[in-house]
This record gives sequence, C-alpha cells and structure tokens, in this order.
Amino acid sequence: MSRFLFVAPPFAGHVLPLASIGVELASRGHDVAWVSYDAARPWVPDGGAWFTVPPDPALESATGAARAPPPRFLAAEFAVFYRDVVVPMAVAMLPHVDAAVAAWRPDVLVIDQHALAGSLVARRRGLPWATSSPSSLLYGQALASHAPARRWLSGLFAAVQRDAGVDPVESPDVSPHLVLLFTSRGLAGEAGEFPAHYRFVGPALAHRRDPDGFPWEALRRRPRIIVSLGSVLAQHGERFFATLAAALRDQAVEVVVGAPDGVLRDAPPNFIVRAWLPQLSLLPHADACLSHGGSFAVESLAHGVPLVLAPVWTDQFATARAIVAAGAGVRVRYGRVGADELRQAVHDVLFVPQYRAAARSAQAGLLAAGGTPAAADHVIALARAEPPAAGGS
Amino acid sequence: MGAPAPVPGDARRDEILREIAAMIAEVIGEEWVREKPITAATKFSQDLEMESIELASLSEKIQARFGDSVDFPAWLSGMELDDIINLTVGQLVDHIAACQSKTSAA
Repeated sequence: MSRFLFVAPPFAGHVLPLASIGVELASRGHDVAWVSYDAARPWVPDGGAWFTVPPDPALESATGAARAPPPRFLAAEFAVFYRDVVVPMAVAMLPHVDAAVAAWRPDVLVIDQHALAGSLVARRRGLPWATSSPSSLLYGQALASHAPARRWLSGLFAAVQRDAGVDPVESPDVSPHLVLLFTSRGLAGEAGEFPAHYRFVGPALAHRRDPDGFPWEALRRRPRIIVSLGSVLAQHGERFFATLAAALRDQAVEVVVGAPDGVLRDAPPNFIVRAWLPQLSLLPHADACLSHGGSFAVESLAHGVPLVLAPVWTDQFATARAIVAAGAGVRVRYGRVGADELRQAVHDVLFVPQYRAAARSAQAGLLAAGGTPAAADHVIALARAEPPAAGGS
Repeated sequence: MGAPAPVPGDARRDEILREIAAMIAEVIGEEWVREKPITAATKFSQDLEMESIELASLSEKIQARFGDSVDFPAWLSGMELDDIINLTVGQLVDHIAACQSKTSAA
C-alpha cells in the first residue's frame, strides 16, 4: 500500500476531483493526507491526515469579490491570476507543504495545477508527483499563442522556482510523470497532440456527496434548466440574473438557479433559487444547463445534458469553445447578453435535438475515459514505478 | 467639443477618437455605449470590459480603416501587463495619430 499527499488550493472546483480520488484510494487501502488552507476543508473527505496552511490575507484580497476584474484579452487574465494568486500562494504554502512531506513521507504527491508549492517541494525532494488539472488548461497550453503573457510571467516563474531551490522550467505546473485531465481527449481537441503521460480521465464523480437541504419537493415540471455560474459572479451577477429572469419569465420551463442571496430579486414563479445547489444530484433531472464553463459544464455533458455557456474568464473560454465546437452548447456573452438572445439560446439547447444528440455523444466519450477509478489507477501506478532521480524535475 | 479652440493635432485626435468610438460601439453593441459615451479616458478593461473576440474585431476594423501604418496587435504585444490593465481609448488614439504622422512625414 502507498502513501499519498494531496496538495490543494482553496477552490472548490479544484478540491472536489482530488477529494473523489482520495476516497477511492482510501477505499483501496492506501493512506491519504491533505495539505491546504482551512477554507478547503469542507470539501475534503473525512479520514485522511490534514496539514493546515495558515490563512493569507493578501491571497484573500486577491481572490475576493472586491478586486477589479482583470482584462479578458491577450491572456492578461491568466497573467493576473498567476501573478496575484498562484505565485503568492506558492510562496505562502511552500514551508507548510515541505513540513507536511517531512511528517507524512508520501510516496507520491498529487498536486493541483494551481498549488505550485507542491511541485516545488516534490522536485526539491526528488519525489514523484502528479498534476491534477480540473481546468484542463495548463499554463503552457493556455499561453501557447500569447507571447506577451508568457513574457510577463517567465521572470516571476523562474524566480519562485530558484527561491525554492529548483532549476527553473518553463511550466512548473506540469508534472513530467503524470497529468490528470478531467475531461475527454475529444473535448480537449483544440490543443492538438498531448504527451503520453497526459491522462484524460473524464470528470471524477465517484464518492462525491452533495450536502442535504435542497427542497426536492419544489421540483414540479419539465423541461428544466439548471443555472450554476460558480463563484465568479461577484461582478455583474445582478445584471445577468435580471436578464435571465426577463428571458425565462412565463416560459414553459422550470429554472433552478444557484445564486447568492439577494442577487436574484423578485424571482419569477417558474424559478427555484437557492444559494447553493446539489449540482450532481440535480443533473439527472436536468434537460439543459447554463454554466460559465467550469467543471460543472463538463459534468453536465457527462450526464448527456446540453448547455448554454456564458464564460467569464481564463479556462472557461476554452471549455466553452470546445463544447460549442462539439455541437453540445450555445455560447452567449456573459456581460452583454440580452433577454431575447438568452431566451433563444435556452430554447435552442432545450428543443433543437442536435444539441442533445451532441451532448449524448460527448457523454459517451467522457464516461469511457474512466473517471475516478481510472485516475486512482494512474496515481497508484506512479507510486509503484521506480522513483525519479533525486533533484530531477 | 466645446472650450478652447483646438490646435490642428487635437482636431485630428478628436476625429480619430470619434472613429474609434464608433468602431467600439459597433463591436460591443450600441446599447453598451449609450449611457456612458466613450472618451479618451475610457479604459478597455474596466470600463468597456472587452474580451478577446471583441478586441480581435476592433483590430480588424482598425486595420481596414488605417491600413498597415497602424499595427494594433504588435503595439499591444509590446506592452507590460499593468499597461494592458489600464489601457485607455485615448492611448490608442494617440498611437494611431503618431503612426499616421510618422507615415506622412516619411
């Protein structure tokens, strides 16, 4: 049996796939520990060892709702995210990840793509490590056609690696041993060829438990659309939801919306609004979804449900492009869409049969990718392989 | 525009600003500039919230109108991240005016 250390940022969409794999590993008799911020703990399964990274006020302000939205062109939003969040978080987490490795003595580290401290420690100690990529868009791929953004970040990335005592590489978020992508190769198609150690496992849905408390008795009629825009809607959430209400008020469709309290006022009678949705439990009861293009969009396709996509930034644009290219969704502009356009988009994905057919086809590809058990197989295989040479990358 | 009599350079800039503002309105939709007209101080990111596909459309329009004397993508690519974050319409107008005077001087 092997020992694993999961290194996670405090972002739900990045913790949940790791949590799924963690439970799977534990069920097969392996030992799993976690190192992250306390904010991640609600999503972490019980039972594993836990190493805490103390809260970081600078990080909280960088990820908080109050920050100005970064530009969404020239990949500047990626650059801002890496500069203001990923790199400072790597510096803050580094000593704590190092202490966790010293105490837990893992055979393998499983590291989220945004928790760079994990890869710095793994490389410094010559331990095998896997990259977990819920966004399916790694730094190098994201910036492949954006030379300025690479230029803005290359010095920063080199410095954080040198300071940690490892030789700088171009993409420190990408493991040379194993990269887990929670999508299918078909949906990741636009990036072209992938190295053999990139494993497309589809969404990791096993062992995921949705908290209780959803009013299931309130569900009344089909067709039904599930609207979940993640935690990004601090900006313009009110405008978008007002547009949604105007678009679907009095339409013959039930609208289940995840929205913070107060953002969607005077919801129409055909709307069910909750601050939090049990997304995975709802998907079998959905005819369409509206998503910003995060992991929920891929989970929706894994249930054969077509989408309206309103991407807001970074990897969401790529995910939305891939789903539109697959014919399983319609894209609208989050900040600009009007009621008529949004009504038409919802109508199309609900009633034009090609969207559902394409979603079913994408579903087949995603489920064939193997999901949580396949991801667990890959990290276990990595633990059994010969360890890399100490000091290697 | 009111106030002091403009010198010729300013008049040229005002004209370019009007053209660029019209192009932006076309790209992002008239309804987004109706309440808050575009000025030289308008920021592409914070105020207009333009995204990649819109910037690409604007770039095409600039190319079509001003020709090869203005290489908008190359100009953007040379900037630092914080300049991109704070980029204003006025800076683009100044850049186009500078490119044109360079071309006409040559």
